Amino acid sequence: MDIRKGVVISRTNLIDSKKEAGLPWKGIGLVIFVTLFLWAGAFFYKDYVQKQTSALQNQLESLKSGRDYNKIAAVADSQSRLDAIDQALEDRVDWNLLFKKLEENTIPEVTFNNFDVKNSDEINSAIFASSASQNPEYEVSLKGTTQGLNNLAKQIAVFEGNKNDKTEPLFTKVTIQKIDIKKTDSNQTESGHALDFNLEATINPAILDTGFENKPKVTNQ
Amino acid sequence: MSDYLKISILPLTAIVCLAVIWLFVKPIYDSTKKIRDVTKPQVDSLVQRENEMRQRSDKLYSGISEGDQTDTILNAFPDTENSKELISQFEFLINQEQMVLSAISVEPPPSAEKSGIAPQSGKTYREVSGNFEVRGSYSQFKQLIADLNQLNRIVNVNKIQIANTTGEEGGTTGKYIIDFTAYWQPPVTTEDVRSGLESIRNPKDQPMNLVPAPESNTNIST
Repeated sequence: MDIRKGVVISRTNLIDSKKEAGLPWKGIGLVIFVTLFLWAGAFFYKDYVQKQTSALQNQLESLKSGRDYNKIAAVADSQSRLDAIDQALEDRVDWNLLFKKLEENTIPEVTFNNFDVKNSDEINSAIFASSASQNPEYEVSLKGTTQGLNNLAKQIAVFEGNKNDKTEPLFTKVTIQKIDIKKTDSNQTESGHALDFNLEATINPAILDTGFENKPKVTNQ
Repeated sequence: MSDYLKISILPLTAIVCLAVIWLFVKPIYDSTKKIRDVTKPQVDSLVQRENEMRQRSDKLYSGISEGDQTDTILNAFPDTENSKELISQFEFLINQEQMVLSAISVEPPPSAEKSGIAPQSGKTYREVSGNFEVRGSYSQFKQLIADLNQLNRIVNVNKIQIANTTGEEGGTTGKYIIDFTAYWQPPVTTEDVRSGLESIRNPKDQPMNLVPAPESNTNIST
């Protein structure tokens, strides 16, 4: 009996060992399932993203087709003009302010009868074919009369500014171009001969800077 | 079935599945990622930009439509050279100040006349230059300069020449030559806007310039 029991036991062991050596269907199935799941998921995800993108594209096309070009053109035109106005006003000079300063800085003994003022960049751009600088300099040419060289010297000193005064000088680089002393027979005064003179000077940019608010900051270069 | 096959079937299946994933699933995911990360944000940005543009243009349009601001802007910076109108405005001011107009000329700058391009690079507008000569008192002249600054059209005075002269009746009067520059800019048309907007495909594109390229100027002198 003991031997038979032992046989039975050994058969049972054989059957058990056969089960353990079978194909791992569960593992294979799981791997294939995961693969198919990923594949299908990728398809679905792509489809989802594509649908979202095409919905946005449709929205964009709809917005584009609803554009009011006339309105946009009117706005763009006005905006562009406003920008151009701003640029043009940057070049504007307050000439009346210059005349006021010139009157304030002219001594009573001197009379000016000719005045020319021009942007020095006009000359530079004509020669060098370059665009005007942002802070143009203005050159002034003055013709005047006075009695005696002392008055002329006084006038130049006033134009160049009192060194002890903190006010800005009206002109820089003042040069005398010409002096004509008029011949007088016997009417020579104590103050000296009557004389005509020509002056050339550059307007102090700080004077013009106080003109218009739209003007850019002018610096003395 | 051999034991070897039994043992290796699972790893083999896994390898085959990985290969399938690599060859078929990954390209799908990559293309999806490209759509998600590149195309979709671009389209999204364009939609946002389009919405913003619409809101801004509506707001700006209602702003400029109020109180005839468009007319004010157009008067200051007309869309044509309109030299005749400019001369009329000068004549009106000169008469208003009871000065005598001796001569007046208006012409586009020589560089623009020759090349047909904008006189100064970087500027969208064009210039009309000229000068006029008037006679009168110094105070009248100063008032005229002030009037020019208040003119509807933007006119800048570039050069001034003043000389004392003897009038017909023997009195001293002033002769004033004023060089000026006025400005104008061609209108922005719906076609310019259409082509400008359609040229934008990428949101990172540079801002469009809706102002049309300058054309040749005409020389007008009176």
